[in-house]
Amino acid sequence: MQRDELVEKITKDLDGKLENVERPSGKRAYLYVHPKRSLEVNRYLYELGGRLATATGVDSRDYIEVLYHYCFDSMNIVVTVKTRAFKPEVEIDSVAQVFPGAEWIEREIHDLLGVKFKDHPRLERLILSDDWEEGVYPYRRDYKK
Amino acid sequence: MSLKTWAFKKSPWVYHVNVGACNNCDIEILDCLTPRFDIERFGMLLVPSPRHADVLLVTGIATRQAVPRLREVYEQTAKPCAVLCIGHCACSMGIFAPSYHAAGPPDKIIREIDPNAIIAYVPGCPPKPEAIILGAVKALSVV
Repeated sequence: MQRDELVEKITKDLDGKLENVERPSGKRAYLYVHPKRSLEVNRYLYELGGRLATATGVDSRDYIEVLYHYCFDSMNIVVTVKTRAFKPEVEIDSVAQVFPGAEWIEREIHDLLGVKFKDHPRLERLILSDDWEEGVYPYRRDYKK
Repeated sequence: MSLKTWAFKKSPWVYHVNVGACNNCDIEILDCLTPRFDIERFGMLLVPSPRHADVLLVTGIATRQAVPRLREVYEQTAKPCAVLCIGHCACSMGIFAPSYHAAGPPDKIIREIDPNAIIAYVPGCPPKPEAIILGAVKALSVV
């Protein structure tokens, strides 16, 4: 399967579940997904054979965007699932039930950006110090030292 | 020269404290111990416990998590002892000074609990092993 065929297949299989699909370059594809559907889309990509490389969190003032990057190594393409968790709840489904390896990166995003991952098996402090105040997130734009 | 000072200068045993370094300074400290620089010819020996140590080799900016540990390690070290702040981070925190998780620099934290501490600074990112040896010689010359 070629890259374009893969993106076409994903778009067709997930018809109606995606808000938008972008191709910034041949090697990348962005899937914009509503938080309610994110677990479903992530599970689909897992079953399709995607390898979860990492997750990223970005604070964009009104919402926090969580990005899951899936590599399809044989096709040399990275498919990114972009989910926008709107403030102030900032809630999103955890993918740790699909990928146990995603546990720590989600805990890190929770520490630094304050994203609440629903149904995460162990959403505890990971990298900030033990005496760090609850509810203060250093990677938020409104954070002041 | 008292017996204590003589013994201290004769074989300063070193303990390595990393309080948030990137590992570059730690590699240079290991270089000091290799046969090429061989600080053991000065009687320096890397020991696994601060209770056996005369010199603390501190690297890193002192993160919030590391500050209580650094205090404890300094208090456990047998006195008289010297502290070597190795690298830019340990001397002045370098580029990490405005960072959200930094509480250092480590020399300030040690001065808070012991204002008369002997502290030598070895700047560099990372400093050369020669510079670390020079810093150790300078720190011992004031004892």
